[in-house]
Amino acid sequence: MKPRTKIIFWIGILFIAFLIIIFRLRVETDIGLFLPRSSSPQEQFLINQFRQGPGSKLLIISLQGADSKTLARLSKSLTHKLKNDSAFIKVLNSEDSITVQTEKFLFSNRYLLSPTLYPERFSPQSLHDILSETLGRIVLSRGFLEKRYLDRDPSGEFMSILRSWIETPLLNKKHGVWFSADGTHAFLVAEIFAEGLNLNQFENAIHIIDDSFNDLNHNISVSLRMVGPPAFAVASRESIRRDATKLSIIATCLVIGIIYLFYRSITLIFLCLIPLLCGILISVSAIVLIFGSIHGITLAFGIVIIGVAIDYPLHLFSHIKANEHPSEAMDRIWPTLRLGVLTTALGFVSMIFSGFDGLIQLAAFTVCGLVTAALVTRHILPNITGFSFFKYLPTRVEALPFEALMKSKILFYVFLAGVITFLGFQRNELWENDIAKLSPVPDSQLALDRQMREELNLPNVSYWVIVKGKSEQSALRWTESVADEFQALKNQGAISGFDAVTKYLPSFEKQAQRIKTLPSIEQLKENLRIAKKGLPFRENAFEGFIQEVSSAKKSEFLTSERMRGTLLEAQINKLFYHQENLWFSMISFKGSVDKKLVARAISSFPSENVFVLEPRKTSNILINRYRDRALLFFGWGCLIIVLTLRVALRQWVAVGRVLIPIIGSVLTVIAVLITAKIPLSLFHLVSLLLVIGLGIDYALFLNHKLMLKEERSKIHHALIVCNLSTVTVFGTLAFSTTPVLRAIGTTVVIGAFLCLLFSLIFASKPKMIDNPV
Amino acid sequence: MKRELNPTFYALSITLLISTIIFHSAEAFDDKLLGESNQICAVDLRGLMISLADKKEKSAQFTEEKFLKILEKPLRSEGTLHFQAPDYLEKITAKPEKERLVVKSELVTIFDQQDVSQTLSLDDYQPLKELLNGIRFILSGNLNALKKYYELDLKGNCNQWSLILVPISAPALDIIDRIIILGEKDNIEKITWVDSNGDFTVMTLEKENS
Repeated sequence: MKPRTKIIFWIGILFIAFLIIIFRLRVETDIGLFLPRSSSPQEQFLINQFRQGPGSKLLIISLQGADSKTLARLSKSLTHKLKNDSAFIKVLNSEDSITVQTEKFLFSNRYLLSPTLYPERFSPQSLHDILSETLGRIVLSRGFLEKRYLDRDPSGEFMSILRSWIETPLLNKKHGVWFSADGTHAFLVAEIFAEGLNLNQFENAIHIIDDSFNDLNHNISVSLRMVGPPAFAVASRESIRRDATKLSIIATCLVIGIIYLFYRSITLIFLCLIPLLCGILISVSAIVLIFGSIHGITLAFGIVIIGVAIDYPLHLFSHIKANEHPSEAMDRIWPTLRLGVLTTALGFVSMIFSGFDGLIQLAAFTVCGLVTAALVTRHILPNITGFSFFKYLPTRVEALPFEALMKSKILFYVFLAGVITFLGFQRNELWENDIAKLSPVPDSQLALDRQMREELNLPNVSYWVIVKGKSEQSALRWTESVADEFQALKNQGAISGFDAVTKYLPSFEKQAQRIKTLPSIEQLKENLRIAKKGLPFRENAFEGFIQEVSSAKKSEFLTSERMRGTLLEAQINKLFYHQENLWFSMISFKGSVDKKLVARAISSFPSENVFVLEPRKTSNILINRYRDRALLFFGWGCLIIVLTLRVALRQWVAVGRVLIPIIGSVLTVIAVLITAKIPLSLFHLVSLLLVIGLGIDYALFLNHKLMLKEERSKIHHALIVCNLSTVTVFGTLAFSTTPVLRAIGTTVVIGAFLCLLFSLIFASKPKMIDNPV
Repeated sequence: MKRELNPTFYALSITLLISTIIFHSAEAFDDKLLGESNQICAVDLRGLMISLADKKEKSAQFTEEKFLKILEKPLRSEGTLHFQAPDYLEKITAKPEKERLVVKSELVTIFDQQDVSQTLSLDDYQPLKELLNGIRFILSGNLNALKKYYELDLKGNCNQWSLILVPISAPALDIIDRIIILGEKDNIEKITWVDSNGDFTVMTLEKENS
């Protein structure tokens, strides 16, 4: 292909890529894609909860800074305003009190719901005992409500229901809205409408809350605070974005300065950006085409990893001799460059088989980007780069002591042995196993979240028992069996309290069983006649009761559908929900729990259907397994790299010369991180991939055979520019306040610098002495 | 031991309501006008309220009878009432069983024989809070605010009067039909609370010997 044709062809491809990006680009922000596929029922539940569960879309809003009346008023007007906004599923500032309708509903369904309807409930003796005890309470203050229902519900089933519900703690209230116990904070809870974990929808909802608050509040001392997963996610993205923008501007300026210093050409600065930009453009459009959308994380990490492509044009520029066409220089360095690109790209191919959607996308992005950047450097850049751009290439870098470095192999080995010994003696955990510590959410925010949950008196969220069923009824039946076991534990004192959905919504079986305890009308009349003996009841005192029992026998069973619109709906929704074809019931605990006995109690149930969930523990296991899988593919990638190099270089010795410096720097980076007491995470792993990519390029160029001295100095020149720009960019990131960016920055800075240093030690000697031109 | 109560336990607040009215009477035992007892004079709401609101701390013995439609005879209890301005009220039942009811601002607590307590916040039941606040307005002498919650009907003269309170709001009316307070001078003698289902409670007060 003629150069001109190539350029036209290339512009055509870029144009198509551009069109794809303009018309099809959709940046995915649902973190779910990067969550590992789950295996245990706990993990599946947790991930479902995380992606779709209401908990991850719940914001807790607190208002403070004024007297309680002002705050309550503001809480009410804010709730009213937000309730009508489609960005929210619901906004609450208090739970509903039992309304007249709910009370009527409960009362008329008491024989389906009462926990005290055991078979002998309506025997003469039992009725007599209940009636005399009830009269004993009615004479006092505490029996007031019972007095109201005595004629229609003499056995007190309605009271039994209410009494069994008292165990669920209520939230503090003042002026009719949720308040902290000391009355200084008013609380609201908002559930955001979002498909999956969509950060944009979260952010939008948070803006709406802020704006509404600013509209409604005219008292500058009143402030609004938000905690909860959506607030944390948005705040961390915002801080990463802000940090990244600021730092990348600084880094860009510095790199431009460095390139100008070495090449003295503004044009070159733009030219050397072309391969990288093309790589990003093509990668993004390819990912959008293949996957339908690109994930924000792929974009961010992908660009970090293919950042190595900025080195490709730098190599080219440094190698151009005076009065030489750039394509001649390109022909010389291409085999080395090609091997570097190929090796790094193949290293990522292994990830495509990882089975993790996020990693597959990331690998595809990287491979595509690296190959594109290399091809653009090879075929396009020399053709748009005319002779005229180069007058003179300074080789002042030769002043540096490269010769001395090449003689210090012994020192390197001693150093490496030291590092390996150090790592070998490390007994501490290398990895960060607590994902909470990787969270970019500041500790102060987390503390506030804890405090607000405590003040709101929300249940213990760190320990649950989950029951899974294939239908509403099967889930409810399982839950009832489990709840029976827990009731036994509670009677033994092994747990202080628990809440299960079947308290509010019993299974059909249970409801039928309760209705069965109701005696025939004739029997009931006879039993009442005997029971009344010795008590001051009138002859026809219980006519109403007899009528209600006879109609209760024909009751329609309760379903979650029938509970809609009553106070019970909220209680049921807290503990019971369904997803696709599965129904999940969550049993919550309060106070102390003997976890061993709970585990033993549920061990007789299939672990697929009934299991303990400790979200923090499960998520740690999940993330660690994810990391271990990633590490495995990292290992496979390394193996592929070694094999590729072996095939290309034909000798193990040559492979060793390329790889030893890289292994040395990777190990040293890990040792440095350990010394600095920084536990390793996935982010370090991603950064090490970049370091390996850089290292391979450095080492391959320095091991170039049949090297002329002049060429060697050009290589030195190129590598120093490359390294300096890399170190500058990532050095800037190392100053970030975001842990993730800081992790990437420090790892790459140390790694890249060491790769160059060690590669220089292992550089092959120039074969011939060349006359300077 | 403390237990939180379900809001539905509005029964407690009703008891509180009665008790508060009673406290109102307990206050009235401090009979400043004893010397003028033979005089027959007119009674006016404003004047009565001011004199009732004048007491800061009071105690009285009570006898309570609950008349239920389905019972052949009333249920009797007796005990002591204490009040301390502005909002502390205690009803201690001695017979037939010990029980202590404590009301402080928005919270109602009942202690049983074993001193196990149950607590309820009035915020959880708005109609009752309205009713209770209405009564509180009597004590603070805020006649205008009181009229927002009740229709008031005062009859008799300053020696022997009766005040009937009929709640205005529908949810409150669903619980209480009316409250009848009988008094002599600024002394409350008897309170009758008529339930919307026809049951009624009569509480008779006697000044505590101190």
